[in-house]
Amino acid sequence: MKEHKKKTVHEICNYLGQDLDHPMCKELIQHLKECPDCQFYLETVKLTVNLFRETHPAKPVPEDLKKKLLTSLNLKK
Amino acid sequence: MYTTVNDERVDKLVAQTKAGNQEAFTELVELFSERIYNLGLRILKNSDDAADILQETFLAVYEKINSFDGRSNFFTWLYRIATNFALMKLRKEKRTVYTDQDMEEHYDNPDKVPIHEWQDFPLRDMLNEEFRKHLDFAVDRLPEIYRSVFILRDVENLSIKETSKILGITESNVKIRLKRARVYLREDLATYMEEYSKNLES
Repeated sequence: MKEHKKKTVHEICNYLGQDLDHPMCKELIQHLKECPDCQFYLETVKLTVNLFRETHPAKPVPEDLKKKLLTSLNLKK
Repeated sequence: MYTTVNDERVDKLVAQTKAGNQEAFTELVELFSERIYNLGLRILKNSDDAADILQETFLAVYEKINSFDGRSNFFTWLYRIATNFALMKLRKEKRTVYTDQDMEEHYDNPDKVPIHEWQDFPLRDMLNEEFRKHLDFAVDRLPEIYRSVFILRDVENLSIKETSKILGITESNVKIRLKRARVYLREDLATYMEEYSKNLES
């Protein structure tokens, strides 16, 4: 891997600890615009997170569980 | 996504519950059940365990609500109780996980971060049960604190501040663990896709 890419990946890693859309480092963002490899790396990390979300959508609480819960707490609907 | 919760309404319901109003508590249970159930599902991956977490959490809330002093947000307090129950259950499972040191060595160092190629094919076609199981298996190998940070921040979409309060770790620790978890999952997925691609060719 090219030296600049290693360095940038490290910086991307630091950026990744932030919110994904946080404009933490102008220089890095500028570099990403100019470097398709690094941009692709960042995009694939974002994609990984999104794929996990898509494959684990929120599910409704089953009706029988809702009833059981309210009963166990002595609450009536 | 989940029902939008109005903070003022929640504060009022908490105050009413403390005064013994059962209808107010019922409303709190209904407002937050789906979030807590899904948190349990995502940490434990099992609907029976998620059901246990839901019940244990609200029983604990009912018993302890008078000790909730309102200094923290009710939402954060509730999530902390549920996360602790889920993590206690998780600890009883015998899982093979990476250590914190593994994560630091392999997903933090620019010289050691393994950068795998990302295969170019239609990812949406891969979103099947096998793919989901693979992601679950990858998350299973994350140390507990990484898994919690990833699920609370990236899946439940809580803020770094909220995640830090729920887990009782600093915001810097949330960020560093989130970063390593994301890089680890990206590399794991890239390897999976490489294998997937080879199988398609053979």
